[in-house]
Amino acid sequence: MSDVVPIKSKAGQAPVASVGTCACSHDRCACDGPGRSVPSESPLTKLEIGQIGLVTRTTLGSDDEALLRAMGLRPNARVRLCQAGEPWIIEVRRTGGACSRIGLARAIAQHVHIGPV
Amino acid sequence: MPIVPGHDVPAPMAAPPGPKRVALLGNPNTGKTTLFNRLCATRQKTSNFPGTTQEVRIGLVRDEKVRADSIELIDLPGIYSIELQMTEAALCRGVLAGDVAPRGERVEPPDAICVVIDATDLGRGLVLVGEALRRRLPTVVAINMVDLARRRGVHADEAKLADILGCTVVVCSARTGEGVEALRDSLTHAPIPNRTPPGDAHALEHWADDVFAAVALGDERADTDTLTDRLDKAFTHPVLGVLTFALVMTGLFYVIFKLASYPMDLIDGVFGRLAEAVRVVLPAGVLADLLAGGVVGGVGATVIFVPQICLLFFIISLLEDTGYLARAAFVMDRVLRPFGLSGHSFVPLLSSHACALPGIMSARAVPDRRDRLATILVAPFMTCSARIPVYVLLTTILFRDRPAMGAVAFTGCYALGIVAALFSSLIARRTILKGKSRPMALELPSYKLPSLATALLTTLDRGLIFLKQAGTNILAISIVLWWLSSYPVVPPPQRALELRAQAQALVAQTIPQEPGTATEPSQSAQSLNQEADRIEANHATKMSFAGRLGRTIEPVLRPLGFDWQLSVGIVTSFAAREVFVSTMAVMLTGADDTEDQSVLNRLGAATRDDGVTPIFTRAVCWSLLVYYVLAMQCLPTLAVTAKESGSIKWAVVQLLWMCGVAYLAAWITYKMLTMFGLS
Repeated sequence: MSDVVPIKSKAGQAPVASVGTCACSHDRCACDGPGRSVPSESPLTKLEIGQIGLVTRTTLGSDDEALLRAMGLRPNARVRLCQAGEPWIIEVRRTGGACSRIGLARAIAQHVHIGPV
Repeated sequence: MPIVPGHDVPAPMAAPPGPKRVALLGNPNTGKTTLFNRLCATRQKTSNFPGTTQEVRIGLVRDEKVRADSIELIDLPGIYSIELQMTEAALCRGVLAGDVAPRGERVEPPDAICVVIDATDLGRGLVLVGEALRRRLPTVVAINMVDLARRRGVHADEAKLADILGCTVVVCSARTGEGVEALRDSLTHAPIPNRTPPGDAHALEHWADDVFAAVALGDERADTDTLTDRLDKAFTHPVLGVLTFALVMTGLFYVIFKLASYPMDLIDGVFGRLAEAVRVVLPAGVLADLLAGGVVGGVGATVIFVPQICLLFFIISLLEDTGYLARAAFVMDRVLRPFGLSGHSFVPLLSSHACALPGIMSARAVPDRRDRLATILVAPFMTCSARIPVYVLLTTILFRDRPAMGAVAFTGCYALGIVAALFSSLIARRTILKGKSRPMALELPSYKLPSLATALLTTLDRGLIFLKQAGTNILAISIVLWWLSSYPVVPPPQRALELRAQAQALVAQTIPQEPGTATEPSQSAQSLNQEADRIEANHATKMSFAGRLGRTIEPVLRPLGFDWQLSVGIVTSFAAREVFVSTMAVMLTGADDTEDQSVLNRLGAATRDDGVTPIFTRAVCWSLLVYYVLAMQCLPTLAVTAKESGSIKWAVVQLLWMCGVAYLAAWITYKMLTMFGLS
């Protein structure tokens, strides 16, 4: 994908936002082109299926937040929305092809905020 | 210089050689249980932590080189982080710190830790690895499911990972056995890691991300797993998902009822013959009665459920292994959440339709404590197989020539049980278990073929636990109830003796047609003997301790339309509901074969002490049906509730609530029917 702007990003660094444009850090883009990246920060429940973004923050109670973080859903985690509706299913994607799927009830999904890649 | 911000520390000497206690730690869905089974096979037992219901499996790993057990492996509960505020995490913390140990084990830190991480998603387990490394115990990291990772093209540099972590890293596949031997060797010679990751939670997360970035090979995947997406969509769809779930559960239900019936009949026959043999071998008396009626009868009545329990856990283990159950939990979550239950509660509730004992035992899969307690409390409302004989008896009396109506009533009983369970959960969640059901956040494991070996070992484990319970608590309860129902032994009443004498006289008058051929007693002699049996059984039950208790509580049950005989039936069936049918049959007809139509007819026509009023009027039958749908008439269930909830308090709450609801509903039913002249 030629229109992808490669940006070096490391875990722990603030995500680089690029509205409507994919800005992933890899040679082989995982975001399926412009428009597949989340345009701006919004709750997980507002995402469209197939959109990819980075977790920016959660507004949950400490127990639920700690559980999600331990499951890998923490700030800067790269996620793809696989299914909207009860449950919201997301894929937490990592380098090397590794990924895991997490199902979330609406009451939790609406408190997970996703920003652009 | 290490890539990650950990601290270099000098590598201390490895722990002294000898049998080691190794704690097996890992995230859920990393194949930890399969690895444990691969390492220990059948050389394992299930224990628990003192004061909790949290189970832990302990296995022995044999070293074939020295032909001895080299490792004692403690399979800790699957957790995402040791630091989470959850019971399972607290127990793991306690075990690693040496503050807690499984029952019967030394309370001291383990000699080593083995952290199992998923090769298909290495990054997910690294926080837990970091937490384990900070314990400064000899540590081995087992990268499991490497076969699956290879198939998916997921690779990592394991040598680099070992270098960064400063501990032994072994790549293995518990499913195929690859690398398991190497893991076994590493566990006995594990060194203490020479690096310590940061202690702060956020710093540890960054450390884990950096470690992963350093060892992961290749880029993030560009493709999307469309097959998994489609399966997830189907299995969690509001309509298709429910239909699929209904289909799967119908299959489960069918197998439990149909396939289990063969071994159950066999067990029934074996215990029946065993009781007969005891009576033949031992002289008639208290000991023979105790062994045949109390011990063999009581244990047999419980052991008969082992096939159902084994099949249930076998199928559930297979379903769980495929990855389907996690999706199904979300489907049922939509239905159960408004009633204060979670999607995890469905399998226990469904299982309770076979028997509440395995249903309550399977509630361990419900992660939230209050959700779990609510599930345990309401599970016995589900119509179990022990209620079916009672339903059959009462619906047959109610709808003798209208089987279709009988079927409707039967279905109504099932529906009433489900409604009562949901209604009770709703009340519990607003009173004693205040709070909403915890919203679900669940990892959805990859779809894969289930492991037959794991399912078999799980089944064996569950079956043995149930048998152990049958041999202790349930046996004691059975003996007490048998004693209450059988003692004191009273002489037969005068009327029964007279009838037997008359019958004997009739037989004596019957002359053989040909010398050497015996003749059957005449029809009337047989009838006289039957009537004598009925009077004798009725008298023996009436005078037994249970009978006296029944007569004592009769005033309490009178508002429901029950006379003293029904009250006795209710008292004697307190151990098991199906006993009601045989008690009533023996008391009212002198025979216990309730499959015999004539016995059923005589039961339906039985009268109260006045000899005129039928015992089973329409209002009484409906009242009894409602009572048996809702009442807690099963002592083994109470014993299991006390064990699984960790307190006898919950068993008492369950008993009082269920019996209270049953009493009120039966009273309303009886009053309404009599008020409208339908009695």
